[in-house]
Amino acid sequence: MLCRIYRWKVSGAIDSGKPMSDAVKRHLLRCASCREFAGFAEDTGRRLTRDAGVLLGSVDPSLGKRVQASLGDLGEAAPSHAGATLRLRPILAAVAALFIVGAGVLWLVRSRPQPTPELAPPFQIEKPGFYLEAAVEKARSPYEKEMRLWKETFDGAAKTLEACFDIGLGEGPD
Amino acid sequence: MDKMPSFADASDEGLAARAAAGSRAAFEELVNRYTGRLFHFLKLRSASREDLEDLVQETFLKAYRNISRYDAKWKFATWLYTMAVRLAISRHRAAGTGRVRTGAEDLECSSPGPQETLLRGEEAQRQKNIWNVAGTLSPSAYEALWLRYAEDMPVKDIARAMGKTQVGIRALLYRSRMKLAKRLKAPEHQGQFEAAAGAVPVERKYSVL
Repeated sequence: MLCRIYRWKVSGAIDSGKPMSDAVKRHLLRCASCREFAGFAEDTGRRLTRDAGVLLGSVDPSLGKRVQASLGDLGEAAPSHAGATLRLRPILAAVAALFIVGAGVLWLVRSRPQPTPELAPPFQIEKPGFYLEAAVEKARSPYEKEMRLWKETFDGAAKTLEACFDIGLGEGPD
Repeated sequence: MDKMPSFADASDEGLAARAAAGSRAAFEELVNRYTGRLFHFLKLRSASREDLEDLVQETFLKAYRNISRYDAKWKFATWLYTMAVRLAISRHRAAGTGRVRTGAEDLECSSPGPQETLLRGEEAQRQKNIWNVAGTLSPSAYEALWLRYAEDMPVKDIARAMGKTQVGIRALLYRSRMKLAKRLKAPEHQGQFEAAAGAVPVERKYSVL
């Protein structure tokens, strides 16, 4: 595991061209396998560079001629417009800045908060105990309401009977 | 009589600037310089030699058409290789092509004759070329090695050309080295590995003192 880390560091040092750290050098002195890898990596690099040169010497020159002939079919290369683009850049930047400022102003104007309309109160409190009475009424159970209704009905019936037959029913219960 | 301008000492970037200004001769010089390099770079991206040559040609044509867009702050090689990689990938996607085998079969069509002995000698030399072993790696590993060692490109430029991150390229190069070491250790390449690994007295080289 450690060797893998050191090999990664060796590989990184080769790619960046920076010298290996002392820790890596110390490990290489201890570890023959990593030392072999480091030596191999450096020398393979040299061989790859050298052999690439050998390889390039063996390229068929007819390919280059074929490419050049195909360029002739295309005509002259289009001249560069890079200079014109560069000259236009400040103007484009100014237009873009103006657009951004305009858009910002519009956004500010549109999103200004409207004055809050005055709302009429949904109801007026006429009696101070209004809420309390309503709450008491709500709190009464439906059975209680029903019993009260029955009681009123019976009371009415008793009074009617008393009036019709002139009988004294006495006082109500205590 | 017009004299052909000499571009021998001109840098690639200077030639590209001239080509962008409309000089075809400057671009032809770039074609001369890069044909072989692109050919070997794209070796693993084509199914046949003809396909590979078409790909090289197509890359140059695309570069010629877009030379006015070349930004001189980048190396011309990086710009051209970026274009080549993108073209190769899009062609590969469109056609589903395989890869060219970089071995003796490339020379199979060479005509036998009086030069046969000479060709065999060249073939033997070619077989010893370490790029033959590198050609057995994946196309991206091979290309990263090519850009690093044949083109001497820094990791930053390789990452740009191949459309990867710098860490990705470092990892690719690291894995390529590990695989190359393993393959060169194989019996058929044993001589090459010894040549590579034993050339430097490493104990002295890595001395901390």
